[in-house]
Amino acid sequence: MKARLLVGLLVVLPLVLAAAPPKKTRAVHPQVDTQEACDVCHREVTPEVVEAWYQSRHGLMNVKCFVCHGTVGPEFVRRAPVSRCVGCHNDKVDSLANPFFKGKDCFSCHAGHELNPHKIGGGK
Amino acid sequence: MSISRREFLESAAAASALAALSGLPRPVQAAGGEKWVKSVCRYCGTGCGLYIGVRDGKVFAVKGDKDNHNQGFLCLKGFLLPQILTAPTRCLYPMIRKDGKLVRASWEEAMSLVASKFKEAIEKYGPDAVAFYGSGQGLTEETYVANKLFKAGIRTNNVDGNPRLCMASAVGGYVTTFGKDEPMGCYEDIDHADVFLLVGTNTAEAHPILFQRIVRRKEKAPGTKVIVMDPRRTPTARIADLHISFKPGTDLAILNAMAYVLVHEGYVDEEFIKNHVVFGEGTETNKSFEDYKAFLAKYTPEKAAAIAGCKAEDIVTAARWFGARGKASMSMWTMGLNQRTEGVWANNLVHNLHLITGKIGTPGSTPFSLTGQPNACGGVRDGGALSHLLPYGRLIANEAHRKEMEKLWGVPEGTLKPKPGPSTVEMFQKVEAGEIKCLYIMCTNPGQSLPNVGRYRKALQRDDVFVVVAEAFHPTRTSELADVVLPAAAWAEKEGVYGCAERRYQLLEQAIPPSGEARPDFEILCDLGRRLGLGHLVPYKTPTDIWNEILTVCKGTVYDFTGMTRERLRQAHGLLWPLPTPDHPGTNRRYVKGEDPFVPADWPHRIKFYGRPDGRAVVWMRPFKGPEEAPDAEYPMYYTTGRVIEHWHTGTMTRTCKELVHANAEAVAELHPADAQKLGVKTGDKVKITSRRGSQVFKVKVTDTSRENLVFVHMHDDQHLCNLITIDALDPISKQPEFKVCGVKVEKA
Repeated sequence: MKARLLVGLLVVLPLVLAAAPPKKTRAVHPQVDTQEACDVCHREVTPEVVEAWYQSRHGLMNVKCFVCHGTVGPEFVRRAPVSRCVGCHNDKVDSLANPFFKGKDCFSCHAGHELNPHKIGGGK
Repeated sequence: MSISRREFLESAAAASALAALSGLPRPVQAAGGEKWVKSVCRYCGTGCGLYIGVRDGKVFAVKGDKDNHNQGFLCLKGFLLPQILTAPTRCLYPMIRKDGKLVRASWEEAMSLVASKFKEAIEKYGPDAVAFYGSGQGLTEETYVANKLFKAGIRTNNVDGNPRLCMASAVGGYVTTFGKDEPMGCYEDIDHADVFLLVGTNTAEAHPILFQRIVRRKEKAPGTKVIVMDPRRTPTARIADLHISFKPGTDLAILNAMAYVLVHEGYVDEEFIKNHVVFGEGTETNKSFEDYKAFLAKYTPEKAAAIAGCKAEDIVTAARWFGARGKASMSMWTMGLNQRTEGVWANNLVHNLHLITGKIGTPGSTPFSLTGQPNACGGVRDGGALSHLLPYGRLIANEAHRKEMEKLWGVPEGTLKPKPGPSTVEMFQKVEAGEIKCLYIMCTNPGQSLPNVGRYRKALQRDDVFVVVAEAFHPTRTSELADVVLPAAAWAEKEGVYGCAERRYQLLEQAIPPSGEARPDFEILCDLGRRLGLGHLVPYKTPTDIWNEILTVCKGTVYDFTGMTRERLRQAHGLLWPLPTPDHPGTNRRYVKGEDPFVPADWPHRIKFYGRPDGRAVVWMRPFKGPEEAPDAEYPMYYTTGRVIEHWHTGTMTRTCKELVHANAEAVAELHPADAQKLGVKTGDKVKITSRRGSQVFKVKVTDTSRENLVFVHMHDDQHLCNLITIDALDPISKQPEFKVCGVKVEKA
């Protein structure tokens, strides 16, 4: 449990910071036992994030953590780049070319994890 | 100041640097040589359209095709497809077993050996000493070449494929009820349905994009009802208005009880029955509606509930929702019904619900079998690459059909053997018995996927059996047993057609050259044909050559898709047959006047089930029959297997994607908390599961989504073989094995 809490602290911080606009600093998810799915730990350490995802469209459709965030270690992605959205939402990504969206990405409007349509206010 | 999409994406490149490290799609760059190639997902039978992004000769991304039925969406497996192409387990050169080990060989050396072994076996023991075992993942053109080469060239009907393990009972259901295989409905029906009956399908994990379409329908039409019938409370049940959990293998009783309620509470459509339905029992269609009513008397909701271990009132509710006047009802099912010794009967009973209520052939009302592989329908079922079939609805046992195919294939009359060959499990039993000496396995993994697989793994290791595996990946649990491994081009490295669950045919264009020394399967088969002196039967240079021949073979059948020229397929985002002329738009709903080109315009009714000579569908009286091996004192728990969303089939591809392996690393035994308590185990502990056929140790996951006295294990783990335990008992009609139910004992390990 202690190990999980430590992992949690290391993980929560970058996730909270993900509310900020994209930065060039890299968040690195600590290496953990990759025999376990993300939610095994995160139900304990970031239950609100897991719950927000679970109740979202992505949660209902089983679009799981790794689709946006990658896997652990250096391959972890804190704030999903549009390249991770383009697989399913390529027409929406195209719309980002509109000058109105200058400097914005998908999570500028669709709050991370809840992903409610057009919930203005930035990612969570 | 405006910025272009490209500029925007370039500006995001820094943020996506980590994505590049993980092999995931990166934003497109301005650098030249980039293209997007139209294709279809490699995985399940939903057949989602996608574009493959190619840069510098390498696949760097995929994105959904918004002009296709999936409206641009992909599931998480499809999204990660690019990784499979560069997996360390790609098979890049031929291998031959020498001194017990597979070692690198040249194509010439490997093919010479294969041809000489096949020739030797045929000359010494006859054509039935060799066999072909194919796949619902091969391209239509590839499967067609194999079927023709073996049946018309080598002259053996020892041709079967893995759709026998997943779809044969659905075929049997459609053929016995409607006279012809394949669904009459389409995906678009989902957008019109008011009631969904999902029975024996974990749609959310096995067919995520269709599940999404159901969710959207439910959101758009708030009164929509979703009934989920499954022993486990799967993720599909999240959208259920009613989830009926029942003892595995008892759903025939429930389906008959639903029919009982429909009949006794006045939900039947007498006019539809009068015009379109006959009643049957066994194989005869000589019964009446009154006989059917008398038959159903044994299946009151109370009696069925007692058999199935569910609530009678839930059965009544399900029936009332399904039968509600003015509501469109759509049923969907997959392996929960098909992988059973009563699989065909279970399919018949679902069709019955639609036929007695007349809820069929109108938007939103249809029985719809979901398919597990991307080309089980188009390549193997429609293409007739099973041991009892010839292409496009023709039967081996039918002399007129044989003659027709002999003419089309340009072989002398009498070339095609009249006796059907063995079904899949029977084929491997012939290998076990030493009757089949040479086996060519293409694009599939029976060393992991067969039921009671320990038995058949031993058969494949017989010294006197020569096993050829043509595969894009190595090692697999089959290629490790091979005498020769031939490197096949993978998805994106070759061109061909896939036909998905809704009669939709789509062209997968080649995006990149084959890796290493790999070749497309059709080229390998044509090479073998030439070496066997049968090159004149398989003279093809390109997949288009084969497709053009296929168009002549489907012509005049009820499948007729003559209008699907290569060019039209290239332009289209999927086309639904029948499509008999180049200007025909395709057919959403079969058997329906005004939509199906084979229903005459002056037909007096809205529907014509022309698959049967009398133009009527059959309501079959199918009694409840339990599984072959229900739990007993010695093996007291139910054992069942199935899918999870992260992986696909034997994991040959998905287990090369690191995110997918991370998210779901190994098959675990899902146990209900009450069972876990009895066994004294918790999540993370290990249990040994044993059946009469074999045993395997799994980690435990305790979950209340399971049903008491049931243990579930997923089927995708090559290191924890769930099929050492499953039973190889077959449905007597479809010859499909009963993967879904057997008895086991579970002990703490």
